[in-house]
Amino acid sequence: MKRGRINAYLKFQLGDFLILRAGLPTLVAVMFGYMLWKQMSGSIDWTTPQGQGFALQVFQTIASVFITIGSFLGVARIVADDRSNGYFRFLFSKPVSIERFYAQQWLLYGIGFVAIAGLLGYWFQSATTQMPVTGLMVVMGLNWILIGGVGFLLSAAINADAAVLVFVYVLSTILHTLKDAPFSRMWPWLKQLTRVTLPVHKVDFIRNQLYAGNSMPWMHATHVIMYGMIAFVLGLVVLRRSSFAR
Amino acid sequence: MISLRGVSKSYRSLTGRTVLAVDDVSFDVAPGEVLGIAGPNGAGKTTIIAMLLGFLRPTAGQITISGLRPRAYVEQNGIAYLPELMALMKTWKVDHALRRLATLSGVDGDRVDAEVARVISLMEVGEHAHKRVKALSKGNFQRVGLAQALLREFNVVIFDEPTHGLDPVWTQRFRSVVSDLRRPNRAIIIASHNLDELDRVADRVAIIDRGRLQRIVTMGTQGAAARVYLLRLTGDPAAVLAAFPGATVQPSGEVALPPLGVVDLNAGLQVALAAGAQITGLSPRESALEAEFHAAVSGGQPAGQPAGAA
Repeated sequence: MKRGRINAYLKFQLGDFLILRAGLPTLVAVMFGYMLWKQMSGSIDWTTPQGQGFALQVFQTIASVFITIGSFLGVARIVADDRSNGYFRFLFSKPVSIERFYAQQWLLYGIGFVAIAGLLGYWFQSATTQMPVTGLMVVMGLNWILIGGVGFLLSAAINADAAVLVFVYVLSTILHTLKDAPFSRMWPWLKQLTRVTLPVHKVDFIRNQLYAGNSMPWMHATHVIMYGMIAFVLGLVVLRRSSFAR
Repeated sequence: MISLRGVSKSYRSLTGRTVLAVDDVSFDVAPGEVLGIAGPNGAGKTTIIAMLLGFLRPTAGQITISGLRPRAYVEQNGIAYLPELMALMKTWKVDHALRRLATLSGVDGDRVDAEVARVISLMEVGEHAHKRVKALSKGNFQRVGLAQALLREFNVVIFDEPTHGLDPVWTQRFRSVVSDLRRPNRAIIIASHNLDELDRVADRVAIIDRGRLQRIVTMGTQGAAARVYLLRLTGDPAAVLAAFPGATVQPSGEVALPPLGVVDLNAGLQVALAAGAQITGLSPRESALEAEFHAAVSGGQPAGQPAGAA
């Protein structure tokens, strides 16, 4: 028997990405960036050090908004939506692998967000001055691997994935902030717990390094990539080994 | 082709209580066969189907399709499946949804539009092809569901409540759709509340109640049209009772005959008339399948002789 043409289905997944996932964060970033640029463009000379510094601040703010919203909206309910709405009954009675279907979707969404981040970065750069666009794309990619990977695992496992992902992210951020604070007096067990939460502080560190024009801190990047990819692979294992219908 | 051996499925509630949805069910479906699954609401029909598609894993027992575990079979071959709980993205247009599903079904790229047009024409949903799914009536949506199941020739067909929401015309048409789907190498499973529908299209019917397989009724041993008839008489019913072993006199005075095909019915009537019976009326009461079903779900014996329980 001939299998389903999962590669050809990519075009439909791309359409879903553009309409359902990327539209809102892109619109927010474009509007936000345009408003700031319009407000400042008359009064600031982007070629001066002061103008360049201000442009970088605006760039970082917009990038941060896009990366955060994009990562969460991109991965939230990526599996759970099909499961809880019952779409899976039509999709996966066809000769396709469930893991392959979602792995392709996850990868496409990640590449899509990196590409859009690059386009937005170049658009902002063309309107202002030299910006760390490549750095932005790398940070977007790392953020997708981390948030996208953990979000994928949660979505494969439970239906309330979006709320749990936000909770885990906020908790991780708080714990890392407390742990890294000067004179931190964290309980040892909480320190151990913090070590296994999302390494959001490492993404922040990498971002700061790259935006400052420094080279990639590979130790931190490897940690982030490993963390996210392990979660992603665990998500695939959950899809393979457990009942899809709940 | 399809084999279930001692299949059970239980769920654990949040309070820790275990609910047994399917309990030790075993049956086979041969290539070329149409198996009906009948049962009241909550009997476990849809759970069995979800396990056949690999969407749920049995808690105990084994399911194989052509020797493979269900999920492996589906991923390699696909199943023409019409679910009871149909759901498609509401913003998709009908033809767009069918193109997506044709692609996943493995229809060649250059054949997708032609196959979509074929099933749209077959199910007569052409006027709705460019409408969004959310704009469809229940009946039209059901026809779209049938259309997507027919996008490709699969060797296993599973329909769960296929005529739910269809008007009488399409309910009748459905029978010819099933008839056209019959192939020597194809197994068809139809789960339905509609016993009359199963009576007409199935070769055997598995009756499920409270998660257990109560019995399998083989249709056709006395003809799919075997029914329980009521005879109205004047005078002594002795001649009728002698001509139809198993017949019983009802409180109304009518005589209930055991399930009979047309040939046996006429032969018995000739004997009864020759013996002097005065028959004033004859009417069907229920089919053999209805009798079996009522007996199975109430835990008793069917009225009269079984139509071929296995």
